[in-house]
Amino acid sequence: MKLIKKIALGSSAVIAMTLLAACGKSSSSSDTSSKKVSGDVKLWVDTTQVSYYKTIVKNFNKKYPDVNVKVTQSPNGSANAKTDVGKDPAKAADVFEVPNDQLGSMADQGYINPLSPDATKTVKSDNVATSVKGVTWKNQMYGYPFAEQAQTLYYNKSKLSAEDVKSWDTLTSKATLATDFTNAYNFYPIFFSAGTNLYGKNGETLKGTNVANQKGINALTWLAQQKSNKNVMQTSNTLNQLKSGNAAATIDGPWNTANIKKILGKNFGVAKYPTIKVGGKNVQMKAFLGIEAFAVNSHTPTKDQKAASTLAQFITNKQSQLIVYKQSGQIPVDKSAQKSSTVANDKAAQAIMTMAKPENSVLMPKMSQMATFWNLSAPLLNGSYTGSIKASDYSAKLKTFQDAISKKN
Amino acid sequence: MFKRKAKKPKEATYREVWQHGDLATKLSFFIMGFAQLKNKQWVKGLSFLITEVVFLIWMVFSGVSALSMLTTLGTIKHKQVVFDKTQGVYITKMPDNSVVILLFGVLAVILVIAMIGLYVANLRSVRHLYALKRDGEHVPTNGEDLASLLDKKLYGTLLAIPIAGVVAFTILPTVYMISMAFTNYDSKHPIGFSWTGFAAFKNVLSGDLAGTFFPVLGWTLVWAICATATTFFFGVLLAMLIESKGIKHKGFWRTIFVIVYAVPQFISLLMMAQFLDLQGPLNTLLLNWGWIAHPINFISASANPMVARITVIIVNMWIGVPVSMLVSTAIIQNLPQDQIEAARIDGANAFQIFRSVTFPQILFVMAPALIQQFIGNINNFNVIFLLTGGYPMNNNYNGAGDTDLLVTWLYNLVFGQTQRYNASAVLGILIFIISATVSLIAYRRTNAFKEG
Repeated sequence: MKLIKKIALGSSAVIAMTLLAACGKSSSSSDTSSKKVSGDVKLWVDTTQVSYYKTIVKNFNKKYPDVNVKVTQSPNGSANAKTDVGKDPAKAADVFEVPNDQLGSMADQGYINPLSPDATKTVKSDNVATSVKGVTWKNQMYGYPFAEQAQTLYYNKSKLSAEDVKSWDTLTSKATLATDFTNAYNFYPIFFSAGTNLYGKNGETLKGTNVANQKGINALTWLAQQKSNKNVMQTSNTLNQLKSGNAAATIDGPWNTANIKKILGKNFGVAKYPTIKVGGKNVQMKAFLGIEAFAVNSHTPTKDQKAASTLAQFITNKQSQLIVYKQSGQIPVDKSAQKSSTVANDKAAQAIMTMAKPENSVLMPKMSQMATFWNLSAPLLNGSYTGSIKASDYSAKLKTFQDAISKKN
Repeated sequence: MFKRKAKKPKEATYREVWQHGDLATKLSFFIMGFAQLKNKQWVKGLSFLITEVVFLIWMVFSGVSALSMLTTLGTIKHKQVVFDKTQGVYITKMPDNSVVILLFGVLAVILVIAMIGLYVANLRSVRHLYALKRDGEHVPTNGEDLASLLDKKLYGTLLAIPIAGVVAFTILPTVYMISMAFTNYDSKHPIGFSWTGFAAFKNVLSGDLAGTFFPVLGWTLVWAICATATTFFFGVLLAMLIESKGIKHKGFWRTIFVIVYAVPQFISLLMMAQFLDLQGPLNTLLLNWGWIAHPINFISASANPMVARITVIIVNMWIGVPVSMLVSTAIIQNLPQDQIEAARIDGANAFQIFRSVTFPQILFVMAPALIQQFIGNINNFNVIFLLTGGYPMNNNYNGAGDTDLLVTWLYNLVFGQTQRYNASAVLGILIFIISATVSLIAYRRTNAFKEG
């Protein structure tokens, strides 16, 4: 019984202390003036980006010397911002990098704040329209865009000509294309080519998905046809296949441009996606368009909010976007940065910018239902590709899929 | 299992203590430690008294609110976005943090239970004091009380730290996690969630996860049986082979197999995953030899489910057989030779000896270990996660693949796209129930239990 006493004593002391600490924290108030920006801000970027973001922050401090910025790498990379920030928002960075498709659910859950009216105006006037649309959710902007990402076609110029890669059928009749059908990011856009919408035209309508029809069946049929196409190779490591020469083309994104350039050397070729024949019609093969952005953590103390959003705005301005482009090949979204000579002379950048146009790609929806979408779409696409879903079941499977991703939570 | 202690007659009833006790004794029913203090047991009395005071202060300042918040898990469930004009930025007001409320609520419940225990202990102590005085016996002094902690009551002193540890690191987290199964804690309610009763259970057993749960459960059981049986059987066979007469360099053979066991499992498994890849060495080799026309898709996302499942069981044998071999070697070396000798004289052949003499003896010793292996296989996260990652994909499942076990699926539900914490808690509880039932039934049927 002595011991129970000890536990009771010890625990109550601990609780008392925690409570005191908790009370102390909430009483802090803000008294900074809006004119002068100061505060402590923590910035999360991907591991490989830390070095050049340090340079960018140095530029920032020249203008705002009173803001103390700490640049660190995010725990699991910007692609997992949603889960990383969600684990403990209070300990997460004040400003962090995030792909635009996570903005919707993060905004709904309250992890991020909308941009202030001033910032909204600046971002809108500086950046291309698609990128602004990419960070807008329910008529409010939730992130500062700085790069656009769309997959495009990379090929080996010694085996394929610029004419060959204009059509999927010509391409695969002349050389092998390596790709991964288990990745929905690669092949769900076939549904867009087939003429369907995902969450409506604006990507925000819950009941706007319309794949359970002949168009959806056409898309799945196209996927099934690829299995019997000898020159379409299923692999989980496309770069290896390019390197070994087994494959002459692949579809990939700006993040791999540098690697593919290294592999192909002077034979490096890049072009927009070819046309494909879906449902008897020749249509443009489409891609998902992603916008990389920085967002501000809503758990940031009120006194640091201004500093955090000032930093987010600065590291996504034209000058910073060009530094990021130079260092990593990320395609800028600033209107004048896109027109600068270095970007204009870069073939890969041009191909990706072409793909980013609305006729070639579809903005990744920001619905929180996208979590279910990713879980269910990959098996569906892969099942049609491998043939484990029979053609006669397409219609039923598409219906199940459409219902599951259109459910209100 | 437990023998009941013979009950001693009580020294006195509480009614008697209350009616015949003096004022201090009566007060002790409300103010803990009063009777002890009056009898100059300062240490005991003060610890009771201080504990009660501290508890009451805690109750007033935070205990009551922690307990009452536990019933709702916080009243503000939705965030609010407001515009801060002085800063020119939007500020989000967060909902009440249910995770913290739940944790402190569970802690408060544990503290209250501990306090009730302490109160009962106080009453017992008072009764004992009353009885001692009534019968005119010696009342222990402070010194005697303290000395008994190192002598007659040494068990209590020694157990104090372990029990505190168990409560803080096992009971509290377990209760906390279990209670999550009765909430709607998921990606839609990550901060402010509420009690939803058995809704999450319903989801898993008959809702949108049922179509995944039952097939995955089936495969988990099939896998656990196959994996346990194959590794055990081939392990015993290998051990007997190495131990049989006429085999030279026994130590060398044993070492070779133990090396497989000595390499960290995750390295062997990742290596195997590479080896079996669609464009991996094995397929290249077979293609070059002309044995196959197309690469075999063993374990990748688009593999055939049957092929992948068989591959997983075979690869697991490669990793698990050496372990069983090592254990059964020890048993085989200690088998009584006279029975085998007798069987041989009676004209039994090698197979008959194995079937009727050697194998039953090995099984007798290894049965408890087998059950433990079976449970281990139900929860065999490593082999599945590192080898296949749950692949091949299955378009009938929600968030799981064909080789996913319940435990890897649970992992996907937490760390994957959907973040369904409540459903994972439900899965955890169900896995526990299955493991506990199976092992209890199986263990009570083993000869080792019956004879031991």
